[in-house]
This record gives sequence, C-alpha cells and structure tokens, in this order.
Amino acid sequence: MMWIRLFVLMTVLMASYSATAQSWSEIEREARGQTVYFYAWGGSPAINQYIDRWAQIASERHQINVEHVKVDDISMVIQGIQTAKRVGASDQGSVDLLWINGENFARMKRDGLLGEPFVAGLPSAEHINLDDPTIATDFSVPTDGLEAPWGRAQLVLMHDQARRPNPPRSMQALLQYVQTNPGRITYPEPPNFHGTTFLKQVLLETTPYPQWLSEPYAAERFQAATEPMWALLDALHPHLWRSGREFPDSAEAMMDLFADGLLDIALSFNPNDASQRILDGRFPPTVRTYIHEPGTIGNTHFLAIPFNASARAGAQVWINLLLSVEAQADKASPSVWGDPTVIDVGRLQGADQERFEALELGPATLTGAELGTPLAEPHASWVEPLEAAWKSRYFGQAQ
Amino acid sequence: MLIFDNVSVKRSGRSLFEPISFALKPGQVFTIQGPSGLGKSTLLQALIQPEDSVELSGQVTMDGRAMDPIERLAPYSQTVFQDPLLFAHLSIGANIALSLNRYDQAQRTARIKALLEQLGLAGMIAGDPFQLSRGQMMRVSVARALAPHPKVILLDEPFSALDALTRQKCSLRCLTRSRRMGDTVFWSRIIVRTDHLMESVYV
Amino acid sequence: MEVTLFRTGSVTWVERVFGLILVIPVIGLFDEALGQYSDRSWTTGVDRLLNEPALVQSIVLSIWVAVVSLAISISLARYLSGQCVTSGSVRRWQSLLLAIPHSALALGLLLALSSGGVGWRWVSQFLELSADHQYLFPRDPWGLGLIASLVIKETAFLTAIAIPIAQRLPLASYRALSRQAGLTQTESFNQLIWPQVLSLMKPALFVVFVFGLTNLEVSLILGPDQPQVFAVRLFQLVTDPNPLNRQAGSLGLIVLLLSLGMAWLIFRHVFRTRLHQERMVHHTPGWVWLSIDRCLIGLVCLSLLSLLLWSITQRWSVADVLPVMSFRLAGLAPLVDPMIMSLMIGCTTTVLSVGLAIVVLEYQVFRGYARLHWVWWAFLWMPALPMSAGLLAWIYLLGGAPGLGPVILGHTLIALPYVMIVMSDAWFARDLRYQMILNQSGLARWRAVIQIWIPRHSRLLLIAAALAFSVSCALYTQTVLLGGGRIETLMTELMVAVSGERRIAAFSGLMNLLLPLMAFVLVQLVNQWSWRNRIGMQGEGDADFR
Repeated sequence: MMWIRLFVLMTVLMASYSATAQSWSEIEREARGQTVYFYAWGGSPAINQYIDRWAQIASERHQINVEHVKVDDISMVIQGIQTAKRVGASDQGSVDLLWINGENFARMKRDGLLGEPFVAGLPSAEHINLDDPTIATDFSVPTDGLEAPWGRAQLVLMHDQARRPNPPRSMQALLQYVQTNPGRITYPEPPNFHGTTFLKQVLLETTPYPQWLSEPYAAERFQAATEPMWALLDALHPHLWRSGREFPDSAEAMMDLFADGLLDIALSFNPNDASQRILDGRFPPTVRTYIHEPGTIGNTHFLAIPFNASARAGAQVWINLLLSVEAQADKASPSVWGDPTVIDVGRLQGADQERFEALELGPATLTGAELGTPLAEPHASWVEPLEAAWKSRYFGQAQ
Repeated sequence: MLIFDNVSVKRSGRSLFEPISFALKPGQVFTIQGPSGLGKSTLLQALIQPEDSVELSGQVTMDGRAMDPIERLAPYSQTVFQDPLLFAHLSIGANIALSLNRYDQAQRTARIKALLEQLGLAGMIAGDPFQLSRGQMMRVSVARALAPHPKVILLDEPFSALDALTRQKCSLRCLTRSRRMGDTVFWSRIIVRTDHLMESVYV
Repeated sequence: MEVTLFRTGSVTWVERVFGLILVIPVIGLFDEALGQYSDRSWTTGVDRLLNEPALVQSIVLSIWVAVVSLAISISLARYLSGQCVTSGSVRRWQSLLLAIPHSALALGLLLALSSGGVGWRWVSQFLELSADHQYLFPRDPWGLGLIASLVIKETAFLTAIAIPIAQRLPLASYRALSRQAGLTQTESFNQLIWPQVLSLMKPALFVVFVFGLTNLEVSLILGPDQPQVFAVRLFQLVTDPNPLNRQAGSLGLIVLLLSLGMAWLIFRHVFRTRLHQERMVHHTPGWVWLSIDRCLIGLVCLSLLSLLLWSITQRWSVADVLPVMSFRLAGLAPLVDPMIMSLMIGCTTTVLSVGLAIVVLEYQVFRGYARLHWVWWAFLWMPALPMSAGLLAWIYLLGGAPGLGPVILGHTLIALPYVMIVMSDAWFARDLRYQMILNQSGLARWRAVIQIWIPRHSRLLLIAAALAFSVSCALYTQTVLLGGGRIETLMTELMVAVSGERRIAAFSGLMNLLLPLMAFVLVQLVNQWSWRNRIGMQGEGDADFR
C-alpha cells in the first residue's frame, strides 16, 4: 500500500514538474520573434550600454528583439498604461516591461495595471531568495510575484579625500558642516527619485516615531513624524548651494557639480558609482564613498510587466536572462554598471559563486560589511505626502 | 471666323462697357480703344480663362462653334502682353516651346529655331532670357505667341513700353505678317488687340 | 499691392479642415478636465489646481518672461529692420539664427553661463574670482536666462517678418516726406514706417508672445526652478499618473487657452493705439540696441562653443582653464539611432508639409485669394502642450496608439503653417497673366505646377523645406506625447540627458543644432549652384515684370 501511495505521489510530482517545464518551454517558444519594448530610465550611459549588450545576447540566444525605450520619468509611462486601461485596451499595449520600484509599483498594483504573478515561474528565480523581505516587499508593499527583483541599491555618499577628508556622517553633522562651509552642499529636487530619498533619509534619522514609517501613511501622524525633519531642513536650506534657490535636477547633475569641484558631496544609489566614474576618468582618483553612521536607506529595484503587454512571453524570457548568473555578475562588475546582485550568492556553487567572489570592488567601493544593514524604506504611501509637503513648504520661497 | 455678339464684361454685376459686336475674318485686325481702366484687359483675360468675380456676357463664336465656357478662346489663341512675361527659370527656347505644347519634339525644335533666326536670336535656344534686352525679350514673347500659328492673337497694349518709332515699326510688321500668314497653308489667324494708338479703331 | 499679413472673411474648405484640426484637440482636453477618468467633478479638479503651491507666482513669472522678452525683441527688431531698410545692411546670419533650435541654444547657454559653465570658468580665471561665487543666472528666479534665450530667437523671427513688410510700403514716398520734414533716415523709419509695420505684424507678435508664455523645452532647460513657469507646472500635472492631477492639468490648459483668447483682444487694442507706438520708439539711442544685439550674438557664439567643448570634456575642475578632454566616440554611439530617427522624421515632415503647402496654395490661387487666412497664423498661436495632449486623447478614442505615425502627423501640423507663411507671398504675388499664357499653351493645371511653378519657386521651396526640417528637429512635446515615449530623436535624448550625462547632453545639443544648420547651408549651396546660368533666378529668385 505504501509503495502504491509513493508511486502515485511520484507520478503526481513528475506530472506537475513536466507541466511547469513545458510551461516555460511554451513561453520560450511563444517569445521567439517577439519585440519587447523595455521602458527604463535612460540617464546613465553605463546602464544603457549594459542593456544594449544583453539585448543583443537575448536576440542571439532566444530570438527576441529588445527595444530599450529611454525615459526620464517612468511615471509618464505609467500614465499611458492607465489611459490604455481606461479605454479598455487590454492587449497590444505599447509597454511590455518597466523598470520600477517603490511608489510607482504601489500605484500600479493598486490600480490593477500589472496582470498575473510570474516571478516564481522563472527558472532563474531558483538562485534568488524570494522570501527575503527586501525582495518580497517593495517599500513595505508585498510584491506578490508581480515584479521581479533586478538589482539592489543603497544610498551612498561621495566625497573627495583630497579636498574634504572628513565628511559629515549624519544629518546633524551635515547641518553643522554647512554653517562653516556654506554653498557646498545640496540635494536633488524632489520629486526626483534621489531627492525624495534624501528626504526619507533625513526623516529616518530625525523622526521620533520610526515604527510609523513602515506602516501605511496616516495623515494624523504626519506632522508629529516629520516635525524634526522640517526643522532640520529649514535650518539647512539657507546654507545650501545657491542658497536653496535652485536644486540640481538629478543625482547625475549633482555628480557633475561635484566633479567640477563646486560641491563637496554627491550621492548615488549605486555603491559602485564612484569607482566606475574614477575608472572612466569622470571623477578624480581621490574620491571615496561613505555612508552615515545610523546607516542609509537601501532597497531593491524591480522589473514589472503591465497587464496589457503585447509581448508578455518575450518580456518573461528577457527578465529570466537578466536574472541569470552571467548577466547578474556582469551587472555587478564596477567596470560595467556596478549594481549589486539580487542573487543569493550562498545558493550558488563552483564557478558561478566564483564569478561574484572574484569581482573587484573598485577603488572607491565599500565592502558589504562597511555598507552594513541598510535602513528599510518607509511605506510607499508616505512618498507622495512627503513630496507634496516639501513642495508646499519650499517651492517659490526663494531667499 | 470670330464673331462677337453683344459681348460685355461684368464685375460684381456691373457692366464695364457697352456690349460690342463684330465679325472677324482671318487676317483682319480688330482694335478696342478706350481710356485706362475701361476693362479692355479684363475682357482679354475673360476671353482666355474664367474668373470668379468676372462674368462674360453675350455670345462668342469661333468657326461656327460657340465658345466653351471653361476653355473659352484659350485653345485657339495666344496673347502678347505689355511685358515680356518670360519664365526666368526656362531657356529662351523653352519659353517659346511652352506654346508648342501640342507639337511633337522634332517639330517643336525646328519651329523654335526658325523663329529665333527670324528674330535675329539664332543660336540662343538655350540662352538665358533675362540676359536679353527688354526689346529682345518682347520679341521672344511675340515669337512665343506666333509659334503655334494660333487662330487668334490677342495683344494687350504690347508695344506701349516702346518709343513711338519702334512702336510703329512693330505694329506694321505685325499687321503685315498677319495678313501674309493668313494666306499660307497654316490656320488662318485673327488678331484682336487693345491699344491706345492705332489706325483702324473701334469705339 | 495691398499690404496686409492675412485675410479675414471667407474660408475655403481646406481652411475649415485645418481649423477643425486646431479645435479638435481642445475638445479632447475637455474630456479629461470634466473628470471623465478621475471620476471627480470639475470643481474638485479646480480645487486641486488652485492648491498647487506657488501657482500664482508661476503665472506671474510666465507673463513677466513673455512680456519682457517680447518688448526687448520688438525693440531690437525695430533697430535691425531699420538698419536694413535705411542702409541696406542685413544680418547675414539671420537665417542661420532662425535655423538654430531653441533647445540647443538654451542648453549651450546653460553650459556657458551656469555655475561651472564655460563662461564662468574663464572669467573666474582671468578675474581671479572665487570659485565659491555664485552666478545669478541662468535658472534664476526672475527668468533672466530664459528671457535672454527667447530674445535671441524672437528677434531673428520678428526681423525676418518685419523687413518684407516694410519693403512693401511706399518707402520712396516716405523718404521724400521725411526730407521735407527734416527727419533723419532713422527718425523717418522709427516714426513713419515702423508703427505701420508693427500694426501689420500683430499676428507674428502674438506668436512670439504665446511662445514666450507657453514654451516647455527652453523653460525646462533654462527657466526658473523655484517655482517653474506655468507651462512646466501644467506639463508636470498633465503627465502625472494620478488622474486627479491630470484633470487639474487639463483644466489649467483650458484656462490657458481662454486666457490667450483674451490676450489677443488686448493685443489688438494695444497695437491700435498710435500714441503708445510713438512712445515706444522715442529716446532710446541706437547704440544701446546695437550693444544689446552684439551681446546677444556673443552669447550665441559662447553657447555654440560650450556645446562643442562639453562634447569632448571628460572632466573639468573649476580650478582649470581647459578641461580634461576625451575624443572617444564610443560613449556617443547611443546617439546614432536617434540621429537617424530625427533625419527620417524631419525629411518625411518636410516632404509632407511642403507638398501639402503647394497643393493648398495652388488651390487658393485658383480660387482667386490674395492672402492666407488668419487660421494659418492661429496654428502658431496654439501652444504645443494642449494641442499634443488633445491629439493624443483623440488617437486613443479612435482606437489608435501613440507611435511613429502620430509623431509625423504632429510634426507636420506644426511645420505646415510655417511653410505656408513663408511660401504664400510668392504664390499670391503671381502675375495672373502667366496663368493665361499657360492656359493658352494647353498645359494642364497640375502639369503646370510640376513643370513650371515648382521649378520657378524652387529657391523658395528649398528654403521652406529647410525651415520645415529645422522645425521638426526642434520638437519635443509632440515627439514625447504622440510617440508614447518610444520614438527617440536627438531632441528627446537631449532632454533626457540634460539632467544626466553632461557630455551626452552637449553632444545631443550640438547634433541637434548642426542638422538644421547643415540643411540651410545645403539649401544655400544648391540654390547658388542650380540656377547659376539664370540671372532672373538669382537673389530672391522672383525677377518678374509687374
């Protein structure tokens, strides 16, 4: 009797395995010949080159044609998808894949713009710990398999050792710093992604109620949670670059000013950014990366397929390729992009594991131990109120 | 034969002059004379192409057939204007060739060369018309009008820009030619011209 | 010949169709504005709009920029066209200034004049100024950088319109009158000729005012930041994923369009008042305008130099006179495809707009019209953002999708009025007697257009083609909205890179500038070469006896 039960169990298991394997084969077959329109931020030539190179590989290996549509602000693309949903265009959408995270994902999930979960069905997902909280949730919103993790990010700051060997390592220290070094510090203007992240970092370092930030936004808690943040920013702004009358549009613009020698600090979400820029000559070799003593915000960035994608199969095959060991190791290389992997390196063996362990960190990159545990992002619903409040408070208040 | 029967021109419902009637045989010359602004040029234009604001009243008959309201006298006539009105981008020969549109290429070239010789512009078939003097340009303009042997030649104060002596010579040559050509094997031609100074006059 | 800029009154069916194209996008805006997609009432949308921080400041700033840039441009255009009419001196590079896209010029100015810009670095080296000194502009709160950029292009445009108008007036009579009155040539131009020219130029002045008020690309690059001008605020709202924000943005666009209608009425009243015109022309010495003109030309040269220099800069510390340069083109390879797309869209737009213009103008001449109807000028009055947003709404409603076709449609709709305005004078000035000669030749009308009129006006057609091409190269809003973000041109790359990689931005700007410039230079060369054996086709190519 036991043997019969075992036989039945084995048969069922084998049947389900072959069903899954067939599903992926069917997806691959369906994907052949498809064109995948991949909407992703296009402000970094290094990232663009990486995407182009792996798109070429996708064409050779899987006969899919990936078109990288460079966008400045992904929210405009989301608006197009919303429009398509409201006019009932449920297929033949113009967007097959988006690079998103945080409040953009939360909005798409809430508005039903993301279709069916797909991540667990990707063969490459076996190397990823899908239960990792930084992968299972996106700004505290459960991902539910609707978006695939692509890379990790942690807010890091940069300084030039030759000019300023001792940078401020907390927001309070930054406030003291600007009073003796006016006009040398700034941050990107919210709602730019990096600008908003700077606000969140200030909030995390100053709020008396950190536990509220991991919960959905509640209007009655906003003032109490953010009061110290506004007090710090009010004191900071008069001493900022251009007296707070103007803010850089982006972290890249800020890095240009830093490289020119007009700012003392730059920031980035990519811990390898400084090394990469030193290697291609855009930063002097004395630039170094650092983080604040309380830690800095970290998150994961994702790839999501809209509900009306015309090349859903192609998009899945493309994502699977991007999550492969080969592609992730290439992405993590400082000479390419330097974006940390989402693969759980401990699950890898042999040559695959060595690919990651052999990666050189680069002259200005912090080790994992130095980066420490990143601070968790506040819940996605806090983002819009923060940005709106910043705008109300500082917009048009030129000194 | 060209017959005008109570022909007048109206602009905005108002007749510009009293209706005129005449019959012309080949070789004859008819002149319309009147003060400036009477509508003589308007009549000539109306005989060639319809215009929204201009109405041609009365009956015009050409060789026994009533004039077509759209084409009017255009298929049978050529016009010489006060100005040469040559196209700057076309050569001298190409300007003349415009009126020979209905001829084949060989006939066209032969005709143009013959005309240019008669005009004293031999060898200038490919020349730039704007390199010529105004008098020479007028001759090319006349050649363009005469080239296809039209049944009717309309002259709109063609020689008014010339001095009196040249004007008289040109007028005489034009008249003589028309009479002589009327006796040749080509179509008979009828000339209607408007001018201030002429011998035979119709008021 | 009657001296007017456009006709009013009867409208042909062609103008009705184009008038509809003008109005239809606005109807598309109402859908969004009335809460069709946000499921909120229009009053909620209004509340949302009014709750935008510093909205009044943005509006006041926009009006300030538009009015000041217009006033300076008018004064400069008066000076320059006066120089042309009285002494025959013309800015030779006038058409080149018209060819430079607004955004490329703006980017060059930003790279030249901002903190860390080319100009500042060299000044600080020679004057030994501290690197911590902060420049006032561009992106200053009063929009001075934006005004400077607008004035450069607007002056070129207004001068190009004013000179032909002035030359159609009975100048000889005015000169005689002036001699009798004891006026100098300059006084004669300023007091007798210019007021009439100004009155006839009202549509062109309004185009400049609308552009100054509603332009997006230049404001994004050079405009104030805190707050931005009104057009940028509306753009941010209209492209926001939140439907309520989009509703507020659409309401804002409708309010903007209504305001422009009122502004036109005020415009007409202002320019009818002769007293005001006289006051405008007195007491400012010519050397003031000459100096301003020279400064602006200097800014243009600095802008071009900045684009060139930043295209090859790897790193440039403020302490160094020259940058660390890199001539590696590998990093610029991503611009190849956008450049090809710009060329393709530009050429298609050119062929369509010039072809349509020939057909429409021939039809109008056939119907006996003597001037373009004002509806063609109205196209230039319509701001790009509501027009594109409205067209997009209609494309979705009709089951279509954004893409290359809608982008080409959008570009053609913008280029066509410019081409019509440039070509119309020559078409309507055609001597009727030429048509009589062609009728008698037996040449069919359409054949006459191909064999006679197109070659006859080929010089002008090539200039119009170069203009259409340069207009297409400079378009951003239409490409982004109607292309669904998928169509990458040099202009879209520039706008993405302007807040990112500086070298890419500079190179995009340089290419965006060189393409139309090359088109104009090519046209000049072709025009000179192709009619070298025809005296009557030289100069403006309109040697006719009238």
